[in-house]
Amino acid sequence: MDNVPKYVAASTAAIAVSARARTGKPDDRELVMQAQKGVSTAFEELVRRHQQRISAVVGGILRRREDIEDVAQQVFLKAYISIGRFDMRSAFSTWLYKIAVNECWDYLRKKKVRPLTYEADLSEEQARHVEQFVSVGAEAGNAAERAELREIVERLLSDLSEEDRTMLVLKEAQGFAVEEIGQMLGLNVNTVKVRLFRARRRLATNYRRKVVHTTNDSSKRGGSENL
Amino acid sequence: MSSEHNRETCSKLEPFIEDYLNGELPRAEAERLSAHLDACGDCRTALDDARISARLLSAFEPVADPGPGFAHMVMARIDVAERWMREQRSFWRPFEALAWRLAFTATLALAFLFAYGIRVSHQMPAAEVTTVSAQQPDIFTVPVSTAPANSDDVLLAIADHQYEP
Repeated sequence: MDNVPKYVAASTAAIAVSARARTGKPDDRELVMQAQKGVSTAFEELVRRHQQRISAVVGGILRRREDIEDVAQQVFLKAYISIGRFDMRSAFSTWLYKIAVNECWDYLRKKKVRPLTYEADLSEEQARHVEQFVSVGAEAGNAAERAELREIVERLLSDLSEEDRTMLVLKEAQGFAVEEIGQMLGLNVNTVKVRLFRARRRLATNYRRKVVHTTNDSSKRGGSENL
Repeated sequence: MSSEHNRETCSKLEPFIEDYLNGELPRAEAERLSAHLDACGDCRTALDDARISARLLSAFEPVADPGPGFAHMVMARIDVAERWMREQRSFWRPFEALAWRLAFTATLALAFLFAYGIRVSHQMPAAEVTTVSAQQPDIFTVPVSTAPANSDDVLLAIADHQYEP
């Protein structure tokens, strides 16, 4: 708190008081100020408020479900250690998102996780399964089928850059707004929109090339065999 | 020219398609984009692509809330980390104090030596360069009354001079 300018601290305190007057609950800024003074229950409340969104950010970047909780906990631990340096010029959630994104990139680098590359083509059955999911709107049935579908979509995403893949998953699967994604990755909102647009086109092109092409080939082959 | 113009328009509309899909485009701009989509096959395909990818990405389920135990786990980890930091600090504290004392003593000693060196250099007069001419006894200065006839006479004269009582 020592390195926060006085005018920022004063305006923050005023905003916090007005928020409490409106809702009856302390807002993030008030809790942050308490946490900066060493009140651990205030930080625990902040964890409770943001645990779902932070887990979603981590889940959008990391592929292995079993890593999510551990890395998300690490994010909050880092936030606790450096909360004294948080100057409240941005929202607390934005600051946390940035820590989460950096923590995930560090984790991937340390674990030496390389972008997935798939040599083999999709089988006819896999291609049909995905095409039905996309065009007919069929839902994936049991957990195993859903896992297989996710794996196929990962294959289709594999030639996108890690950042573009992250943007798409955070936007479409985890429901983050374009502005939030921009803040997380340090990008301008328009840049995020254009990159999302191009990443989507690339994913759809891969879908046409690897899925629709395979199902068309198999149906042609089936037709000629019947003749 | 017209296709070039069209391409330019399409690339300018790229960011608007994102808002159009989210239903966040203001009405006037949405109408303008709709008119463009009616006329432009490429942009219609782009919109289809966006829908296909949204559908594909719906295969990834949103991550669920980790539950009430999560915050407790975080606070427990924080507690462990804080305890470890305190232990580290208490382990190194005596060494740290000793190091500070040593550093202080060394600085004092250096300052003293430096001050002493300056004082001595001020007090010492400038060294004068003197030439000393010392008289060296020459053992070969032999009193010879007569000129020696040969080298044996020289040696004998030296020997006499050496052993002269």
